Amino acid sequence: MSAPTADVLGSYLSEVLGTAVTVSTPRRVAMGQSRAMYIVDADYDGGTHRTILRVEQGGFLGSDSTTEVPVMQALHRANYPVAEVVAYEPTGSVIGEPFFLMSFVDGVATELVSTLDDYIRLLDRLHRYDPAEVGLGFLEQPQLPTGPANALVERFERTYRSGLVGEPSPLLEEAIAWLRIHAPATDRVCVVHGDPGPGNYMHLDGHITAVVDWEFTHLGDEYFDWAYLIWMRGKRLMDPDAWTARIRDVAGIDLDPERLRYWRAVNYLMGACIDQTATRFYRERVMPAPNLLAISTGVHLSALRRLYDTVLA
Amino acid sequence: MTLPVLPRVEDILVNSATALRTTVLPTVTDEFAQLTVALVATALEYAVELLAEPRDIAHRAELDAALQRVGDLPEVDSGASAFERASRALVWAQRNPGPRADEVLSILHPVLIDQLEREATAAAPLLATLHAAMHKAH
Repeated sequence: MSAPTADVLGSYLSEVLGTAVTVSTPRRVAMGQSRAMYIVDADYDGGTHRTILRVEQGGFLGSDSTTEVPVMQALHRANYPVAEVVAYEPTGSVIGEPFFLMSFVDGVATELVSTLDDYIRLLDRLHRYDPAEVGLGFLEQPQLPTGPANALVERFERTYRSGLVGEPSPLLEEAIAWLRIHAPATDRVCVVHGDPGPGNYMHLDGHITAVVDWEFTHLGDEYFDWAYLIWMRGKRLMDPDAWTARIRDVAGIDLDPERLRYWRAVNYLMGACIDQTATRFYRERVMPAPNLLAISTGVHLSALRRLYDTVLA
Repeated sequence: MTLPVLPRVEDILVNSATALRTTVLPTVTDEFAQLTVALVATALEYAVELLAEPRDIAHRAELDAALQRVGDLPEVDSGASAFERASRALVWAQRNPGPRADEVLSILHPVLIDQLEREATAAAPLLATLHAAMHKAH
Protein backbone atom coordinates (compact mmCIF):
# COMPACT_ATOMS: atom_id res chain seq x y z
CA MET A 1 0.00 0.00 0.00
CA SER A 2 1.31 3.46 -0.87
CA ALA A 3 0.59 6.41 1.41
CA PRO A 4 -2.93 7.78 0.87
CA THR A 5 -2.96 11.16 -0.85
CA ALA A 6 -5.06 14.24 -0.12
CA ASP A 7 -6.51 14.21 -3.66
CA VAL A 8 -7.71 10.63 -3.48
CA LEU A 9 -9.19 11.02 -0.01
CA GLY A 10 -10.80 14.35 -0.96
CA SER A 11 -12.51 12.81 -3.98
CA TYR A 12 -13.64 9.83 -1.96
CA LEU A 13 -15.08 11.94 0.87
CA SER A 14 -16.79 14.31 -1.57
CA GLU A 15 -18.62 11.36 -3.07
CA VAL A 16 -19.47 9.74 0.26
CA LEU A 17 -20.56 12.92 2.04
CA GLY A 18 -22.28 14.42 -1.00
CA THR A 19 -20.49 17.74 -0.73
CA ALA A 20 -17.21 19.25 -1.90
CA VAL A 21 -14.43 18.18 0.45
CA THR A 22 -10.79 19.24 0.40
CA VAL A 23 -8.36 17.29 2.51
CA SER A 24 -4.99 18.07 4.07
CA THR A 25 -1.98 15.88 3.39
CA PRO A 26 -2.43 12.84 5.65
CA ARG A 27 0.12 12.89 8.49
CA ARG A 28 1.20 9.45 9.69
CA VAL A 29 1.25 8.98 13.44
CA ALA A 30 3.29 6.41 15.34
CA MET A 31 0.37 5.10 17.40
CA GLY A 32 -1.07 1.67 16.73
CA GLN A 33 0.48 -1.38 15.12
CA SER A 34 -2.28 -3.26 13.33
CA ARG A 35 -3.29 -0.26 11.25
CA ALA A 36 -1.56 2.62 9.55
CA MET A 37 -2.94 5.72 11.27
CA TYR A 38 -3.02 9.25 9.86
CA ILE A 39 -4.38 12.60 10.97
CA VAL A 40 -6.47 14.10 8.19
CA ASP A 41 -8.15 17.52 8.20
CA ALA A 42 -11.20 17.65 5.94
CA ASP A 43 -12.72 20.99 4.93
CA TYR A 44 -16.43 20.92 4.12
CA ASP A 45 -19.66 22.68 5.06
CA GLY A 46 -17.70 25.79 5.98
CA GLY A 47 -15.55 24.15 8.63
CA THR A 48 -12.46 22.06 9.20
CA HIS A 49 -13.17 18.57 10.53
CA ARG A 50 -10.19 16.76 12.01
CA THR A 51 -10.37 13.01 11.49
CA ILE A 52 -8.27 9.93 12.07
CA LEU A 53 -7.69 7.68 9.08
CA ARG A 54 -7.28 4.01 10.02
CA VAL A 55 -5.95 1.88 7.19
CA GLU A 56 -5.83 -1.92 7.25
CA GLN A 57 -2.54 -3.63 6.54
CA GLY A 58 -3.52 -6.86 4.81
CA GLY A 59 -4.81 -8.54 7.96
CA PHE A 60 -1.64 -7.85 9.91
CA LEU A 61 -2.05 -8.88 13.58
CA GLY A 62 -5.11 -10.89 12.67
CA SER A 63 -7.70 -8.17 12.54
CA ASP A 64 -9.70 -6.14 10.07
CA SER A 65 -12.43 -3.52 10.11
CA THR A 66 -15.38 -5.76 9.31
CA THR A 67 -16.48 -5.97 12.92
CA GLU A 68 -14.58 -2.96 14.27
CA VAL A 69 -16.59 -0.41 12.28
CA PRO A 70 -20.11 -1.73 13.04
CA VAL A 71 -19.13 -2.22 16.69
CA MET A 72 -18.01 1.41 16.90
CA GLN A 73 -21.14 2.60 15.12
CA ALA A 74 -23.42 0.61 17.44
CA LEU A 75 -21.68 1.76 20.61
CA HIS A 76 -21.60 5.36 19.43
CA ARG A 77 -25.37 5.16 18.95
CA ALA A 78 -25.64 3.71 22.47
CA ASN A 79 -23.85 6.81 23.80
CA TYR A 80 -20.79 4.85 24.82
CA PRO A 81 -17.69 7.08 24.45
CA VAL A 82 -16.56 5.99 20.99
CA ALA A 83 -15.44 8.15 18.09
CA GLU A 84 -17.99 8.58 15.34
CA VAL A 85 -17.19 6.75 12.12
CA VAL A 86 -17.31 9.34 9.32
CA ALA A 87 -16.77 7.00 6.37
CA TYR A 88 -15.90 3.34 5.80
CA GLU A 89 -14.34 2.01 2.62
CA PRO A 90 -14.28 -1.81 2.92
CA THR A 91 -13.19 -2.82 -0.59
CA GLY A 92 -9.62 -1.58 -0.83
CA SER A 93 -10.40 -0.05 -4.23
CA VAL A 94 -9.66 3.56 -3.21
CA ILE A 95 -6.19 3.38 -1.66
CA GLY A 96 -5.32 -0.30 -2.00
CA GLU A 97 -6.50 -1.35 1.48
CA PRO A 98 -9.80 -0.99 3.34
CA PHE A 99 -9.94 1.99 5.65
CA PHE A 100 -12.22 4.13 7.70
CA LEU A 101 -12.21 7.71 8.92
CA MET A 102 -13.38 8.55 12.39
CA SER A 103 -13.87 11.87 14.09
CA PHE A 104 -10.88 13.14 16.05
CA VAL A 105 -11.52 13.11 19.78
CA ASP A 106 -9.66 15.56 21.99
CA GLY A 107 -7.47 14.05 24.66
CA VAL A 108 -4.39 11.98 25.23
CA ALA A 109 -3.90 8.27 25.82
CA THR A 110 -1.31 8.58 28.56
CA GLU A 111 -1.53 6.49 31.72
CA LEU A 112 -3.29 8.60 34.34
CA VAL A 113 -4.18 7.04 37.68
CA SER A 114 -6.99 9.49 38.40
CA THR A 115 -8.96 8.17 35.39
CA LEU A 116 -8.79 4.49 36.36
CA ASP A 117 -11.96 4.31 38.42
CA ASP A 118 -13.98 5.89 35.62
CA TYR A 119 -12.40 3.47 33.19
CA ILE A 120 -13.25 0.45 35.34
CA ARG A 121 -16.86 1.67 35.47
CA LEU A 122 -16.91 2.12 31.70
CA LEU A 123 -15.54 -1.36 31.09
CA ASP A 124 -18.08 -2.83 33.50
CA ARG A 125 -20.82 -0.90 31.69
CA LEU A 126 -19.70 -2.42 28.39
CA HIS A 127 -19.82 -5.90 29.90
CA ARG A 128 -23.34 -5.35 31.19
CA TYR A 129 -24.82 -4.36 27.83
CA ASP A 130 -27.28 -6.75 26.24
CA PRO A 131 -25.55 -7.23 22.87
CA ALA A 132 -28.81 -7.32 20.92
CA GLU A 133 -30.16 -4.20 22.62
CA VAL A 134 -27.14 -2.08 21.63
CA GLY A 135 -27.04 -3.39 18.06
CA LEU A 136 -24.28 -5.95 18.52
CA GLY A 137 -26.42 -8.99 17.85
CA PHE A 138 -24.46 -9.59 14.64
CA LEU A 139 -21.39 -10.70 16.60
CA GLU A 140 -20.91 -14.44 16.83
CA GLN A 141 -22.56 -15.86 19.96
CA PRO A 142 -20.48 -18.56 21.66
CA GLN A 143 -22.29 -21.39 23.43
CA LEU A 144 -22.10 -21.52 27.20
CA PRO A 145 -20.42 -22.79 29.23
CA THR A 146 -17.04 -23.32 27.49
CA GLY A 147 -17.76 -21.80 24.08
CA PRO A 148 -16.25 -18.39 24.91
CA ALA A 149 -12.89 -19.94 25.82
CA ASN A 150 -12.81 -22.48 23.01
CA ALA A 151 -13.91 -20.00 20.35
CA LEU A 152 -11.21 -17.53 21.25
CA VAL A 153 -8.44 -20.14 21.48
CA GLU A 154 -9.52 -21.43 18.05
CA ARG A 155 -9.52 -17.92 16.62
CA PHE A 156 -6.03 -17.17 17.85
CA GLU A 157 -4.78 -20.59 16.77
CA ARG A 158 -6.01 -19.83 13.23
CA THR A 159 -4.19 -16.51 13.34
CA TYR A 160 -1.00 -18.22 14.55
CA ARG A 161 -1.14 -20.85 11.81
CA SER A 162 -1.73 -18.17 9.18
CA GLY A 163 1.55 -16.57 10.22
CA LEU A 164 3.71 -19.67 10.35
CA VAL A 165 6.77 -19.80 8.14
CA GLY A 166 8.16 -23.31 7.81
CA GLU A 167 8.29 -24.47 11.42
CA PRO A 168 5.76 -24.63 14.27
CA SER A 169 6.45 -23.11 17.69
CA PRO A 170 6.55 -26.05 20.17
CA LEU A 171 5.67 -24.08 23.30
CA LEU A 172 2.84 -22.28 21.56
CA GLU A 173 1.45 -25.58 20.25
CA GLU A 174 1.63 -27.00 23.77
CA ALA A 175 -0.07 -23.95 25.28
CA ILE A 176 -2.93 -24.19 22.78
CA ALA A 177 -3.42 -27.83 23.79
CA TRP A 178 -3.38 -26.89 27.48
CA LEU A 179 -5.94 -24.11 26.96
CA ARG A 180 -8.26 -26.45 25.05
CA ILE A 181 -8.08 -29.08 27.78
CA HIS A 182 -8.64 -26.59 30.61
CA ALA A 183 -11.33 -24.35 29.08
CA PRO A 184 -13.33 -22.90 32.01
CA ALA A 185 -17.04 -22.28 32.21
CA THR A 186 -18.37 -18.83 31.46
CA ASP A 187 -21.56 -17.84 33.27
CA ARG A 188 -22.83 -15.17 30.86
CA VAL A 189 -21.87 -13.88 27.43
CA CYS A 190 -20.68 -10.25 27.44
CA VAL A 191 -19.49 -7.65 25.01
CA VAL A 192 -15.71 -7.94 25.41
CA HIS A 193 -13.53 -5.04 24.31
CA GLY A 194 -10.56 -7.29 23.57
CA ASP A 195 -7.71 -4.82 24.13
CA PRO A 196 -8.74 -2.76 27.14
CA GLY A 197 -6.82 -0.55 29.50
CA PRO A 198 -4.54 2.47 29.76
CA GLY A 199 -3.30 3.54 26.35
CA ASN A 200 -6.54 2.51 24.71
CA TYR A 201 -8.69 5.29 26.00
CA MET A 202 -8.40 9.02 25.58
CA HIS A 203 -8.83 11.47 28.42
CA LEU A 204 -8.91 15.23 28.76
CA ASP A 205 -8.82 17.20 32.01
CA GLY A 206 -9.27 13.97 33.95
CA HIS A 207 -12.36 12.88 32.01
CA ILE A 208 -12.48 9.96 29.59
CA THR A 209 -13.39 11.21 26.11
CA ALA A 210 -13.19 8.01 24.04
CA VAL A 211 -12.40 4.32 24.24
CA VAL A 212 -10.40 3.23 21.20
CA ASP A 213 -9.18 0.11 19.35
CA TRP A 214 -12.27 -2.03 18.85
CA GLU A 215 -10.73 -4.46 16.39
CA PHE A 216 -10.75 -7.43 18.78
CA THR A 217 -14.21 -6.83 20.23
CA HIS A 218 -16.27 -10.00 20.47
CA LEU A 219 -18.94 -11.69 22.55
CA GLY A 220 -17.38 -13.79 25.26
CA ASP A 221 -16.14 -13.85 28.84
CA GLU A 222 -15.60 -10.58 30.69
CA TYR A 223 -12.61 -12.18 32.41
CA PHE A 224 -10.68 -11.75 29.16
CA ASP A 225 -10.94 -7.97 29.61
CA TRP A 226 -10.27 -7.93 33.34
CA ALA A 227 -7.17 -10.08 32.94
CA TYR A 228 -6.00 -7.90 30.06
CA LEU A 229 -6.52 -4.75 32.10
CA ILE A 230 -4.63 -6.14 35.08
CA TRP A 231 -1.69 -7.93 33.42
CA MET A 232 -1.31 -6.35 30.00
CA ARG A 233 -2.19 -2.69 29.79
CA GLY A 234 -2.43 -1.91 33.48
CA LYS A 235 0.60 -3.72 34.83
CA ARG A 236 2.81 -0.64 35.06
CA LEU A 237 0.26 1.28 37.12
CA MET A 238 -0.64 -1.17 39.87
CA ASP A 239 0.23 -4.68 40.95
CA PRO A 240 -2.36 -7.41 40.30
CA ASP A 241 -3.61 -7.50 43.90
CA ALA A 242 -4.20 -3.76 43.87
CA TRP A 243 -6.05 -4.05 40.56
CA THR A 244 -8.35 -6.83 41.77
CA ALA A 245 -9.09 -4.87 44.94
CA ARG A 246 -9.84 -1.75 42.94
CA ILE A 247 -12.11 -3.60 40.52
CA ARG A 248 -13.95 -5.08 43.51
CA ASP A 249 -14.31 -1.66 45.16
CA VAL A 250 -15.35 0.23 42.04
CA ALA A 251 -17.41 -2.33 40.10
CA GLY A 252 -18.35 -4.77 42.84
CA ILE A 253 -16.78 -7.69 40.99
CA ASP A 254 -14.92 -10.29 43.03
CA LEU A 255 -12.65 -11.91 40.46
CA ASP A 256 -11.94 -15.64 40.80
CA PRO A 257 -8.12 -16.09 40.77
CA GLU A 258 -8.08 -19.42 38.92
CA ARG A 259 -10.47 -18.27 36.21
CA LEU A 260 -8.45 -15.09 35.95
CA ARG A 261 -5.28 -17.14 35.44
CA TYR A 262 -6.83 -18.97 32.52
CA TRP A 263 -7.91 -15.76 30.81
CA ARG A 264 -4.57 -14.14 31.50
CA ALA A 265 -3.06 -17.03 29.57
CA VAL A 266 -5.53 -16.42 26.72
CA ASN A 267 -4.37 -12.78 26.71
CA TYR A 268 -0.78 -13.94 26.25
CA LEU A 269 -1.89 -16.47 23.64
CA MET A 270 -3.53 -13.65 21.74
CA GLY A 271 -0.32 -11.63 21.85
CA ALA A 272 1.91 -14.49 20.75
CA CYS A 273 -0.47 -15.54 17.95
CA ILE A 274 -1.21 -12.15 16.45
CA ASP A 275 2.50 -11.31 16.59
CA GLN A 276 3.14 -14.45 14.55
CA THR A 277 1.54 -12.73 11.55
CA ALA A 278 4.47 -10.31 11.55
CA THR A 279 6.82 -13.23 10.89
CA ARG A 280 5.18 -14.09 7.60
CA PHE A 281 4.55 -10.50 6.55
CA TYR A 282 8.20 -9.62 7.13
CA ARG A 283 9.61 -12.80 5.63
CA GLU A 284 7.49 -12.52 2.49
CA ARG A 285 8.13 -8.77 2.28
CA VAL A 286 4.41 -8.01 2.35
CA MET A 287 5.26 -5.08 4.61
CA PRO A 288 8.80 -3.68 4.90
CA ALA A 289 8.18 -1.75 8.14
CA PRO A 290 10.90 -2.50 10.71
CA ASN A 291 8.38 -2.68 13.54
CA LEU A 292 7.41 -6.07 12.11
CA LEU A 293 10.86 -7.39 12.95
CA ALA A 294 10.47 -6.16 16.53
CA ILE A 295 6.97 -7.64 16.81
CA SER A 296 7.88 -11.01 15.32
CA THR A 297 10.87 -11.38 17.65
CA GLY A 298 10.91 -9.43 20.91
CA VAL A 299 7.19 -8.78 21.31
CA HIS A 300 6.24 -12.33 20.32
CA LEU A 301 8.81 -13.91 22.64
CA SER A 302 7.74 -11.73 25.54
CA ALA A 303 4.14 -12.93 25.21
CA LEU A 304 5.24 -16.54 24.72
CA ARG A 305 7.42 -16.46 27.85
CA ARG A 306 4.53 -15.13 29.93
CA LEU A 307 2.20 -17.72 28.48
CA TYR A 308 4.67 -20.44 29.45
CA ASP A 309 5.10 -19.04 32.97
CA THR A 310 1.34 -18.76 33.45
CA VAL A 311 0.23 -22.26 32.51
CA LEU A 312 3.10 -24.52 31.44
CA ALA A 313 5.96 -23.95 33.87
CA MET B 1 40.27 -2.92 -12.36
CA THR B 2 39.39 -5.23 -9.54
CA LEU B 3 38.57 -4.87 -5.91
CA PRO B 4 40.98 -7.19 -4.18
CA VAL B 5 39.19 -6.67 -0.90
CA LEU B 6 35.43 -6.37 -1.08
CA PRO B 7 33.52 -4.55 1.66
CA ARG B 8 32.50 -6.86 4.47
CA VAL B 9 28.78 -7.32 5.05
CA GLU B 10 29.22 -6.68 8.78
CA ASP B 11 30.95 -3.36 8.13
CA ILE B 12 28.24 -2.25 5.73
CA LEU B 13 25.54 -3.03 8.29
CA VAL B 14 27.33 -1.53 11.30
CA ASN B 15 28.33 1.63 9.45
CA SER B 16 24.85 2.05 8.01
CA ALA B 17 23.34 1.77 11.48
CA THR B 18 25.81 4.32 12.83
CA ALA B 19 25.09 6.72 9.97
CA LEU B 20 21.39 6.44 10.56
CA ARG B 21 21.77 7.15 14.27
CA THR B 22 24.31 9.96 14.07
CA THR B 23 23.45 11.67 10.78
CA VAL B 24 19.87 10.94 9.80
CA LEU B 25 17.99 10.53 13.07
CA PRO B 26 18.93 13.92 14.57
CA THR B 27 17.55 15.69 11.50
CA VAL B 28 14.21 13.88 11.40
CA THR B 29 11.32 15.75 12.98
CA ASP B 30 8.37 13.59 11.95
CA GLU B 31 7.48 11.22 14.80
CA PHE B 32 6.72 8.19 12.63
CA ALA B 33 9.87 8.70 10.57
CA GLN B 34 11.92 8.92 13.78
CA LEU B 35 10.54 5.55 14.90
CA THR B 36 11.24 4.01 11.52
CA VAL B 37 14.83 5.26 11.37
CA ALA B 38 15.56 4.15 14.93
CA LEU B 39 14.09 0.71 14.27
CA VAL B 40 15.97 0.30 10.97
CA ALA B 41 19.26 1.10 12.74
CA THR B 42 18.45 -1.42 15.47
CA ALA B 43 17.41 -3.99 12.86
CA LEU B 44 20.78 -3.62 11.13
CA GLU B 45 22.55 -4.30 14.41
CA TYR B 46 20.31 -7.33 15.01
CA ALA B 47 21.31 -8.57 11.56
CA VAL B 48 25.01 -8.18 12.41
CA GLU B 49 24.56 -10.50 15.38
CA LEU B 50 22.71 -13.05 13.26
CA LEU B 51 25.50 -13.02 10.70
CA ALA B 52 28.09 -13.60 13.39
CA GLU B 53 26.18 -16.49 14.93
CA PRO B 54 23.51 -18.41 12.99
CA ARG B 55 21.58 -19.32 16.11
CA ASP B 56 18.83 -21.25 14.34
CA ILE B 57 21.29 -24.03 13.43
CA ALA B 58 22.32 -24.39 17.06
CA HIS B 59 18.66 -24.40 18.17
CA ARG B 60 17.80 -27.28 15.83
CA ALA B 61 20.81 -29.32 16.93
CA GLU B 62 20.04 -28.82 20.63
CA LEU B 63 16.40 -29.73 20.16
CA ASP B 64 17.30 -32.76 18.09
CA ALA B 65 19.62 -33.97 20.87
CA ALA B 66 16.88 -33.46 23.46
CA LEU B 67 14.41 -35.42 21.33
CA GLN B 68 16.89 -38.29 21.15
CA ARG B 69 16.75 -38.38 24.95
CA VAL B 70 12.94 -38.32 24.87
CA GLY B 71 12.84 -41.39 22.65
CA ASP B 72 9.87 -42.70 20.68
CA LEU B 73 6.37 -41.37 21.34
CA PRO B 74 2.99 -42.08 19.75
CA GLU B 75 1.89 -39.46 17.19
CA VAL B 76 5.46 -38.20 16.72
CA ASP B 77 6.83 -38.81 13.23
CA SER B 78 10.54 -39.53 13.50
CA GLY B 79 11.10 -38.12 10.02
CA ALA B 80 9.71 -34.68 10.80
CA SER B 81 11.81 -31.64 11.71
CA ALA B 82 12.99 -31.13 15.28
CA PHE B 83 10.49 -28.33 15.88
CA GLU B 84 7.65 -30.39 14.44
CA ARG B 85 8.57 -33.40 16.60
CA ALA B 86 8.97 -31.25 19.71
CA SER B 87 5.55 -29.69 19.07
CA ARG B 88 3.87 -33.06 18.73
CA ALA B 89 5.66 -34.44 21.77
CA LEU B 90 4.56 -31.54 23.95
CA VAL B 91 0.95 -31.70 22.76
CA TRP B 92 0.97 -35.47 23.37
CA ALA B 93 2.26 -34.84 26.91
CA GLN B 94 -0.56 -32.41 27.64
CA ARG B 95 -3.16 -34.88 26.38
CA ASN B 96 -1.65 -37.87 28.17
CA PRO B 97 -0.67 -36.78 31.68
CA GLY B 98 1.46 -39.15 33.71
CA PRO B 99 5.08 -40.04 34.43
CA ARG B 100 6.02 -40.36 30.73
CA ALA B 101 4.49 -36.97 29.97
CA ASP B 102 6.35 -35.44 32.91
CA GLU B 103 9.57 -36.89 31.56
CA VAL B 104 8.94 -35.39 28.10
CA LEU B 105 8.23 -31.97 29.58
CA SER B 106 11.25 -32.11 31.89
CA ILE B 107 13.55 -32.74 28.93
CA LEU B 108 12.08 -30.39 26.32
CA HIS B 109 11.04 -27.40 28.41
CA PRO B 110 14.52 -26.39 29.61
CA VAL B 111 15.94 -26.58 26.09
CA LEU B 112 13.13 -24.51 24.58
CA ILE B 113 13.11 -21.94 27.37
CA ASP B 114 16.88 -21.53 27.11
CA GLN B 115 16.50 -20.88 23.37
CA LEU B 116 13.62 -18.49 24.01
CA GLU B 117 15.73 -16.52 26.46
CA ARG B 118 18.67 -16.29 24.07
CA GLU B 119 16.42 -15.00 21.29
CA ALA B 120 14.70 -12.59 23.66
CA THR B 121 18.07 -11.19 24.67
CA ALA B 122 19.07 -10.74 21.03
CA ALA B 123 15.77 -8.99 20.27
CA ALA B 124 15.77 -6.82 23.42
CA PRO B 125 17.08 -3.69 21.66
CA LEU B 126 14.33 -3.98 19.01
CA LEU B 127 11.72 -4.31 21.74
CA ALA B 128 13.13 -1.36 23.69
CA THR B 129 13.15 0.86 20.61
CA LEU B 130 9.58 -0.04 19.73
CA HIS B 131 8.30 0.48 23.28
CA ALA B 132 10.07 3.82 23.66
CA ALA B 133 8.45 5.07 20.47
CA MET B 134 5.01 3.79 21.45
CA HIS B 135 5.13 5.48 24.85
CA LYS B 136 6.29 8.71 23.28
CA ALA B 137 3.40 8.56 20.79
CA HIS B 138 0.82 8.28 23.57
